[in-house]
Amino acid sequence: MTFKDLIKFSIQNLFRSKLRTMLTTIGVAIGSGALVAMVSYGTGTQKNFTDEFQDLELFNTVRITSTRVDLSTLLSFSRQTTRSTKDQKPKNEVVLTDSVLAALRDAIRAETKAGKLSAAFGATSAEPIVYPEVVFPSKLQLDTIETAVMTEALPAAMASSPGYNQIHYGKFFTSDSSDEIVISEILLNRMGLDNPVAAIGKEIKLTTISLDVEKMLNYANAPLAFAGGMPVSEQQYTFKIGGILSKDIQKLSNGFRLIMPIETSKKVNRLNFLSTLDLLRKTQQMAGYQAIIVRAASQKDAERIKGLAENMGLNPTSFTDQFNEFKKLFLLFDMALGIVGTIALIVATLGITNTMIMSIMERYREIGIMKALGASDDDVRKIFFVESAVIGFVGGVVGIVLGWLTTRGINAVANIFVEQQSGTSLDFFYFPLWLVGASVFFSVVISLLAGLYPANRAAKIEPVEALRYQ
Amino acid sequence: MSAPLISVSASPDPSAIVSAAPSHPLIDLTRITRIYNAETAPLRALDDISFSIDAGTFVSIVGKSGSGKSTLLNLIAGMDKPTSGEITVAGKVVSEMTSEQLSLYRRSAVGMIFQSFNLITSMTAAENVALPLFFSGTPEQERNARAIEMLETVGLAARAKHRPTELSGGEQQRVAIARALVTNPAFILADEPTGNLDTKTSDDITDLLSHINRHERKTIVMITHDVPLALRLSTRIITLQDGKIKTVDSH
Repeated sequence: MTFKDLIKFSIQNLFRSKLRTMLTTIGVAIGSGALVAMVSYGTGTQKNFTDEFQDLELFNTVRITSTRVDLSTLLSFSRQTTRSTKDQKPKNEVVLTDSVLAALRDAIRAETKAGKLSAAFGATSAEPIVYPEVVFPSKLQLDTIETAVMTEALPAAMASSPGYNQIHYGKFFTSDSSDEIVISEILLNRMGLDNPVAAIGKEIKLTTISLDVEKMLNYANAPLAFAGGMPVSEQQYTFKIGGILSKDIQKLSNGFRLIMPIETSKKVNRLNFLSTLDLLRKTQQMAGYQAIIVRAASQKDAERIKGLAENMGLNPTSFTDQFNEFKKLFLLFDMALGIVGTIALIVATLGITNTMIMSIMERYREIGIMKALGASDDDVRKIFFVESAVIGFVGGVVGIVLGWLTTRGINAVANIFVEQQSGTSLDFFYFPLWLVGASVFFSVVISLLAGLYPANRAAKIEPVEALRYQ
Repeated sequence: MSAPLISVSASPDPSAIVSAAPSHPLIDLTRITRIYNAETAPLRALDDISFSIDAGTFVSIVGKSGSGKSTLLNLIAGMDKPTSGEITVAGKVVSEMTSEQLSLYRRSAVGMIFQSFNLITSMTAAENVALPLFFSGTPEQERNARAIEMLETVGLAARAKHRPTELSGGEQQRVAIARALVTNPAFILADEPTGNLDTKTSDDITDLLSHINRHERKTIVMITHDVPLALRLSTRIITLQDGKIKTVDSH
């Protein structure tokens, strides 16, 4: 029996009970389609994230923090890793001051001069983009509407970075000490302004609160002194809307954003801590920035700058590091989806076992005849094995088509809502070539496993007994 | 026990004598015993049987049902193994073959013809005839050519594309004979080949078998309970009774 003969013979046999074969194959196709759709959702989600991050050049970012961020312990669910903060300074604690920032900038500049880093830092910047991470709570007031918002500060050089280089209305501030701010369209809508063009040049009022730490410490020593009021003061500043981040720039963040120039932010009195832990540290003479951000020209440069910062005794984390941890979560997500799909496929392949057993019972005498005519146990085993594989293969291929059609349908329906929300459409599913190949391979393998028992049972049929059977 | 190696003393066709006088018999059974259900309720289907069949002869094995005919057929066909004793075919010990070797033996040395034809209903006449060649790995074209050739031999070339259900009983048995001949086996093993056929068709089939024996010089071992038929066709008749050889008649 040649392989070609075997395939032809199996297909002929399967065609004899068309309905049964068809139903079994549809079962496998549904199972395999479910698996493909599930996995394609997983890979699609991951791809959307990765593409978005890539678009925003986040992989080119290095974040330097005052303490070492141990991502694996942060992401692990083990309790032992929670650090006791009491009285114990974390290792590698570095105060991120302006001089650290300047030293880092100098080091990057020197490295660039030595040709080890790309010289281009974006269209508008010949200088390395190194800036402190500044985020503080504030109250935004436009005409009569007020809302609370986290204000960020960025250098003017970020104007050339993706996300900020696509400002559709107005422009990104050109100076680090400008009085213009950049606001996101979504936030603007929230403030009651639906026409972004009319908003350009409009004045906004920003109210911040600041805390007199020294005064507060005094109060702490003499609690009764609180009677004199909290050591908190409010300040109000006026800015002009210079540019508007349009809705479709950041697909995955809903972006209530208010960005001011970095130097301007230094003049704003504000709470320079975000948590009680920060507050504690600051009272321990640990003033300094939360973090320093470096924007490199490429992912490769980012890795090099990370090394540079490490050599300086700093604690850098590249976005790639964070993303790799993030990917582990994706793997869990994919596995969960994959398991559900696999269960569907396994249930479907049980149908193959059932079909094959039925087929063997029907063809019991025929198997006896074939054996009497000289078919070996192995020949008979192969015939049934190949029949299972053919069902698995056809089911797998049909499953891909079925899965693809299903995901297109779901995608179309889902995008009706997505477009209403953000104005842009998104592909939730991704069909890489490996998925197509792997799913067919997988359904053939599972079908072969399903055919194992029936094939062996057929092979063991005694011709003498089978021929006596009517 | 009856002595083995009884050579053919007379044959209707002189040419058969020439081919039927080799130095070794084609099929040789020595002290064959087959006991079913050895542990629980032992049944001695065959009891210490010895005989041999020379190439080119037409041997009939007759006996009532339960005499051990079918058991003997299964043993010679290589579908069953004796409890004791030795079966040799063309010098090869069939009784000691592995399952794999037995399938090869059935495929190449034995041509089987059954009472109920045993054609595969989903296949055409030509496909049925070609089936044994399928297992031996013969290329498709050659298989088909051989099948048509064999159907011509049995006079059914015109019905090659028909399925068994579209053929009469006699035609079906002819397809089965063509299938038995297609591998050019050492001998034909026929199990009540006319048992399911009317008298007229029976005669056609027996004529065909006789023709194959005389003109193709094919050894035929036929199992039947029809003594007149055996007398008419055979060069030798072995009569079984209760698992033992009762008589051996040569003519």
